Amino acid sequence: MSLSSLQLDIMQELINIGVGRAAGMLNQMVNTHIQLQVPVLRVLTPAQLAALYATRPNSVFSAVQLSFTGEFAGLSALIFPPASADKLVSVILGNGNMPAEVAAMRTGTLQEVGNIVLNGVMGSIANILREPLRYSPPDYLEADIGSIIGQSQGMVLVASTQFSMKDHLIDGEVLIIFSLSSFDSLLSAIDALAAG
Amino acid sequence: MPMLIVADDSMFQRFQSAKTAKEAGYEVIEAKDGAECLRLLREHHPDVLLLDLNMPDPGGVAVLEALAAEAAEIRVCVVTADIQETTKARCLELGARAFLNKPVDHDVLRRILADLLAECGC
Repeated sequence: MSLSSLQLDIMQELINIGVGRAAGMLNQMVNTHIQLQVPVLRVLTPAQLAALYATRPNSVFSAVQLSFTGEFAGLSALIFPPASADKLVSVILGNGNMPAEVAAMRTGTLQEVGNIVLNGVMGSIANILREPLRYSPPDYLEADIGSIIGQSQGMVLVASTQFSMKDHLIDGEVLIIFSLSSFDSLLSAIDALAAG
Repeated sequence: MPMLIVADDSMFQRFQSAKTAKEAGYEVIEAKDGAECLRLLREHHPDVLLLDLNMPDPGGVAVLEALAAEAAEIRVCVVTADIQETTKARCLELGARAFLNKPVDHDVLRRILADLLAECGC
């Protein structure tokens, strides 16, 4: 499975637009500038992806997953090192605004941040490609990357974008994984967009 | 006092929206999924519903479909992270009065809640 340079360019730009939109949403939530890196696209097996992340200092991540179906299907995830997730929750909730159920509120807050950011990315792509997507309710988990992405067979298209909020020392990553079964549909939609 | 149901599987979002709605003068009831939302709608027949779409079964669109059939007078403001144009068009087609994307701009939500309050004359 390989992408032509034009397909790769379009895919990268779609994700860039989506992440930009998501950054705008995050900025609104935390009221601070979000710094983004250019997304990196790779075609990998789940095992290769897990091996890539195993070399990082943090092997456990806080992750929100949003599964989507439609003409193309897959899984998007927003992942943070756990310390960054903690900082993000405290920035969003602020002091004196925390209800009694603190642990549930932490999970609920991260889940909703992930939901909003991932919808920003996937919704932008769906709008531009004119391919409606349906989402499953977001899931929150704390696990290694292998458990987050699952152990499916075959190759996956992986788009990763690093972002950071300098004022709060928060960093994280948007990771979008398109499953192989739907990859052809995604490329067809990209080709249709390229053809105008 | 006018009644409002906020239906969202996110406790965080319910907490934020309920606070704004209470400040706007509503009595607020919370639902954490589509099934609970439908049960509370039938039981309390509120004036306004703040409805998330991506909730455990049934989702918000199914709730809107049920409302269109059995209680179209309940004013619905959809509050969702879904930014797809097709989703917004479907919700408005099903009778939603307003469509707000998350993260919620609480000034905008306050304005919508005040308008809906004036509309229902409560």
